[in-house]
Amino acid sequence: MTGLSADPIDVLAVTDAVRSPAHGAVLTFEGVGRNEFAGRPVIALEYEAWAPAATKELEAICEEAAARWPVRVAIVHRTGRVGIGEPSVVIAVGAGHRGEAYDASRYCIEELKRRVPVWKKEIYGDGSDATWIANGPGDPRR
Amino acid sequence: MRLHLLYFAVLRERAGAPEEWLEVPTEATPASVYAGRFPQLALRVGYARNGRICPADTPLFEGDELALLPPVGGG
Repeated sequence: MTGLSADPIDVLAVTDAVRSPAHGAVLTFEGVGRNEFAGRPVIALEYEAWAPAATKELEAICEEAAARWPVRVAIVHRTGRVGIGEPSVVIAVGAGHRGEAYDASRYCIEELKRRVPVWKKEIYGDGSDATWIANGPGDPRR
Repeated sequence: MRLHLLYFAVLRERAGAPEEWLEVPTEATPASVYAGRFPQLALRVGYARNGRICPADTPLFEGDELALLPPVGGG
């Protein structure tokens, strides 16, 4: 299940991929296209990936989370144009209990933002030039 | 020597192509290739040689694939 998708993400399918009779918690995180940045209207996002490396890195993050906590994880990240309100990334975690589900989910999104070779361009509605936006500690939107 | 360069995001747009073969001096490093190809850009790029993340000064060899990775923006 984990990997990239050029099509809208089936959130329920990602969530279902981590279900198990042993899990008392199933937690799904969606990163979603937001409609503004610093007062400028954002009308869409465009994601580009280094596909083979990004897929490997997403799989590695899932494995790391499963090694640190007793969890099962699935992550799907979009490529291409993502509309406002649409998920750009979905992280599903199944766990015995909620604590490790929240911890693993947070770990996965932070690692993803730090190291998966995916790039985001914001498309603005005010006519200004579309801009590549990098993640980082200086990013106020973290 | 010749290297197979991979470009993404802003670098792909600046280069006008997602990849190209580039002739570089034999003593070239990832950092020198980047600086030579995109002298007007001062991004903190990362590098991957033949699919593996590598230091900016790693030795390069004829036919290597070198990916130039702008700061990532996933999530």
